[in-house]
Amino acid sequence: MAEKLIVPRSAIAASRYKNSESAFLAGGTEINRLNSYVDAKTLISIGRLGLDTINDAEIDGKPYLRIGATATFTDCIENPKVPEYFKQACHFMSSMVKRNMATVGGNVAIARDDSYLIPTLVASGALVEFSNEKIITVKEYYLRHFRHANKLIVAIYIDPSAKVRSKRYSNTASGHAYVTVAVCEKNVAVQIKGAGLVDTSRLEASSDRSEAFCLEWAEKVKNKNIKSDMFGSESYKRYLAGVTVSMLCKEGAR
Amino acid sequence: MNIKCIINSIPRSFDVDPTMKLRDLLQLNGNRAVRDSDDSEGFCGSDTVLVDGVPVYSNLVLAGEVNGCEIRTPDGLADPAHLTVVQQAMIDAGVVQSAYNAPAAALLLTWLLENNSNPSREDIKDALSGIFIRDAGYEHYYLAVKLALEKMNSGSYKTEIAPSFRPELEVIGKPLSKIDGPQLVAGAAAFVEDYVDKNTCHMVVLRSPHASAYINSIDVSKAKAVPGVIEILTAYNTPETHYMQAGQGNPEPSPHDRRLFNLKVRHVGDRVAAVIAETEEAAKKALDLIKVDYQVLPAVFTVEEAMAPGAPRVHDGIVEYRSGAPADLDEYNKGAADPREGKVIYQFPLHADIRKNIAASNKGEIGNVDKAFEESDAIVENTYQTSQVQHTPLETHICFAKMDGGRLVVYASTQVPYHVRRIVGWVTGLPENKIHVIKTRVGGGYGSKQDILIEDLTAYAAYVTGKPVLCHNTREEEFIANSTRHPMRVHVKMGGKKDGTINAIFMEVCANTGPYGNHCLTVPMNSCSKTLPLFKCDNMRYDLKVYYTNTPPAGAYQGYGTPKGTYGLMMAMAELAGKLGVDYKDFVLKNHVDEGYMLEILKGLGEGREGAVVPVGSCGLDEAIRKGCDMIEWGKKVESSDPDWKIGKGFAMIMQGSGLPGLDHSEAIAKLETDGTVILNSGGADLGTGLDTISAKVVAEILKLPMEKITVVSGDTDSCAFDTGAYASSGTFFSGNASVVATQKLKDMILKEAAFQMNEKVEDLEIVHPGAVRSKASGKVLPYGELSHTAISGGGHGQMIAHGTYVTTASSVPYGAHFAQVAVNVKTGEIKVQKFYALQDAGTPINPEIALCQMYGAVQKSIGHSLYESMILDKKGRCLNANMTDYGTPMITEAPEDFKAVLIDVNDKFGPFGAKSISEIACNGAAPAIGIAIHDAVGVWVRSWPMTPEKILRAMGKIK
Repeated sequence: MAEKLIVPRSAIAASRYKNSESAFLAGGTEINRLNSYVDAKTLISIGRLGLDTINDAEIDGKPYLRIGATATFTDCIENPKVPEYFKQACHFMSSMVKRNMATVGGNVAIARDDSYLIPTLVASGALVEFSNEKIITVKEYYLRHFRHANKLIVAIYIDPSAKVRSKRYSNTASGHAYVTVAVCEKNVAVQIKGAGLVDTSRLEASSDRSEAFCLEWAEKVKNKNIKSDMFGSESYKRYLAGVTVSMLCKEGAR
Repeated sequence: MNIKCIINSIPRSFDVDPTMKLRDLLQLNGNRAVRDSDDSEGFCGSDTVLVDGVPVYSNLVLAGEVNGCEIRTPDGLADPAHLTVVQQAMIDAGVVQSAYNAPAAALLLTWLLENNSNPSREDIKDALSGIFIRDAGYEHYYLAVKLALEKMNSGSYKTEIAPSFRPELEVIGKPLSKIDGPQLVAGAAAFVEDYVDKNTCHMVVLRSPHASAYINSIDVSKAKAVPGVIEILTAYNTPETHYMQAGQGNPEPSPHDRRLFNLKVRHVGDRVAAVIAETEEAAKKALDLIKVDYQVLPAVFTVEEAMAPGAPRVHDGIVEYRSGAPADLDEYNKGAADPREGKVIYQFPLHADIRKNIAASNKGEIGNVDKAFEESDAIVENTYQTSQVQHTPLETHICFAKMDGGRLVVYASTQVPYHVRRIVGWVTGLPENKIHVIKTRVGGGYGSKQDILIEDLTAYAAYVTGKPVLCHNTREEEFIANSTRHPMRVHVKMGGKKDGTINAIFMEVCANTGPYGNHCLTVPMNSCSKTLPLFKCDNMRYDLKVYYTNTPPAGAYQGYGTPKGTYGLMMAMAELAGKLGVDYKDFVLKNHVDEGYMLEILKGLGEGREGAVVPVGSCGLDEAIRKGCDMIEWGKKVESSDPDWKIGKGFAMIMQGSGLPGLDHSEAIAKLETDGTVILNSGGADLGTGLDTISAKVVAEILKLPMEKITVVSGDTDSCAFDTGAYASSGTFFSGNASVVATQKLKDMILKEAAFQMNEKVEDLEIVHPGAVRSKASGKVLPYGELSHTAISGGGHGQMIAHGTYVTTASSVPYGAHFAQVAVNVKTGEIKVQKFYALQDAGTPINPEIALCQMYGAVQKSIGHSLYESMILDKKGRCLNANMTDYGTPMITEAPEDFKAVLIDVNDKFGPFGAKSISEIACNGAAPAIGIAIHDAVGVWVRSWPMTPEKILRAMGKIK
């Protein structure tokens, strides 16, 4: 339960306030939520720092769409520059009211194992930019986000021309996802509740996307955190991961 | 921090902690309609407001973030006397029922229409995607938007809201607005939380972390030292009175097997202690300081575990009977264990054996079932399992109690005010004249508010402390400490002949009542008594046993036991049709009952007593089946363009009851006021279903008065007369009929008094619009106002007050058939309900628009139970998904793409103006209809709730 709210005037100021007992507050859909993952005594509000712009950018000669960290899911859905694949990921959050609040940067920063956006961002090779202007891949951030816990994310860069197909499985549309799969050419991101992103290197190293191969990959992928839980059995989640990779790749081929 | 903002166009300034939630700030500002249904989960949407024109959940926004913002709240839209077009359209469409978050929905639809003058169905769906509607379903929200747009664009509605019935009647059977609609949709004071006094104490409950344990000791010394703590209640300082929490007629067919606090806790979430303190913070702080020494015991969670030889006993104390004690009771009680077990007291025998964890049992048979099975050409025999599901009313359980003038006043969100009064009387020792129960509007009940789950303790706390006390459940407490639907294992054996007749049915029901026996006999009885009478079959047997376990408690839930019995029987029937090689539709048509068929099976299926064998009364079942089959094009295979998706169809016939003949009892008092208006005091408890509107329509119809000249006061134990309450689908039939009797009597009094005052013969007089008596002989007209004034002004016989009582042995049974078309993905097991058609014979639907919405709501709820909802317990009995997000209630996204509710026109002989019950029956059809459709699509039977993609994939052999 937060005891203090700081409303800084700039991203640099916001970064200065950050320590192990504080957290950046963007949309509030996670931090202010019942049983939040985040336990911070001080919240640093970044909602009014002007970090919500969406515009074209270029990194190393490659065109990107730069999405400000506090752009909401609704901002992205309503912006004509945002590619459909990313809008689809934003729509995975089924509540319109929640989409009005949840921010792209917040969803990445929180790095949940049932994230709405991470699989799509990872498969598409998206990047994350910190307030110190350092840029890393979203995948790198996700896998080592504790290292970056005190850094303020200021933007996400997505490839506007990426061909991403994604699918999310949850009990109801409003429930937490237990399996989310995104594929983009050779890139495959598979997120499983409890385990987060699982190792897809074997899949990505192969061009075989047959159902048999993908199911075999899913059955054998090593991750002790893929477990039976209230969302389903381990075998079900592994099966879904494999069959969905194959399905999405086939759709892409069509 | 000083926060300046504009709230509903008025500039405001607050000096508050900036980490305060925006909702709390708005409550401080008096915006009561910004409610909370999910403890800041961001799910239900009752806390929706607009910040700078954007809909947000106010529980997820901090006050410090709205400095300089403009905020609009639902109660800023309009006051009840000047509703907006959107608010009125919602009432007219019938969606304003229990209405706890109707104001929030009105705000969202207003926002939608302000930003989109021609929204599509998808736009409306998206606007409502973050608001949870449990009572009325979502379908008529689309209608509400359409109506609002028509009114805005052309000044009047063009679309028919609902069909009308009984053209010879003025208001009955016509879609007219719900009388409490304006109060509810505008967010005026309506619910318990709106009537809480300032400086009221808060009560919070310490709950058991163990599924089964003796309490060795409780140390409250540190907790008591917390400033502001008034009292701490435990088993050591509260009465040893044994009672039960089921709101049923007295003597109850449920064992008295609990105290306010027990010395043995029997489920995770069971009461251990309660802290009453001046503030919620102090109460919670003290709660954390209570030290309890538990002696943890082994527990049982399933009927299989409970029935196993040597299983741990959930209750193992002394057994007593108020009547009908067995001769060997003393011997039986020698087996009682630790005194901390307490007692189990039966009002009359329920064929129980607590040493075997059996809380109740019953069995019966007609014909010769064994012989009939031998003669069957085909037999199916399968077991169907239903899960533990929760009502999830938007308004969690809440009670406010205080002492006033030496009397205990209890504000309750309840379906059973008179049962609340009785049980509060038991635990406090107060006589009923010293207890005043005020039923407020109920923000969703569905059976959970038939049980006295917090009123007993809250009222006791107010009584012993002399302080006003508020208790309000958290959402988690709703799951772990309230009632749920009884999980059941229904074993069905059904035999048929090649000619397409069913010649034998055996139904074995094993129900899990959890740690206490609320409704333990009657819910499983209901799974037989409201299903077997659908079948024209001479040989039927049922055998039911109910087991105590250490799961969260079970109790009444809309549909009672029927959805579970219907699931098993109709799934088995469809499977048997396949085995016999007959079309399922023909099979159903051939084997369902018709009007006049004698229901021999009912003789053993009373509510703890002998049942009455009666013939089938008015029955729209055949029409519902045939019409539904036409609508869904039964027999026509639908193919998907995507080969991974297979499409199937299914349907189920359904029935329920309309109250409990011979047991239920309703009363009403109709008063002609001195100006000729009428106040009807109804004992009935309107829980949002429109019962008060039914009573008002009854008065309007009989006395030919405009609706606005009638006021209904209901559910107040001081001003109204006794009513058993709103459960067992009794509201319309019993309470409605009591209103008919009272109003008819008032009419007779009016005519008699008019004859006296007009110097005419009663037989020459008639009641005419708008509330007057006319002489057919002289043509003279005497308005009610004049008549009534004279009657109390020294020249008449006093105020005309009529008292109506309704009891009956007659039974008006609603029937229906529900149809589903589903698409199932053969790769992923995903299921989409593409079409759902609910066709029901509700007799005369007195409020047709409200009736349709209740059908939509109940079906949506049962789709949830069938496909998504289930409380999941770990090995220690802890509920893993005691929150809305993980539990799985369906939202608008899960609603069928093509959803239709159809009222079959049947005029019943006994119901008020021909009406029967409407909403409970609508819970019964979804599970079997969907289950049969899944089989039609992919060829597998899924015989347990919820029918998940994983179960489908397993049945298809895709995963092991």
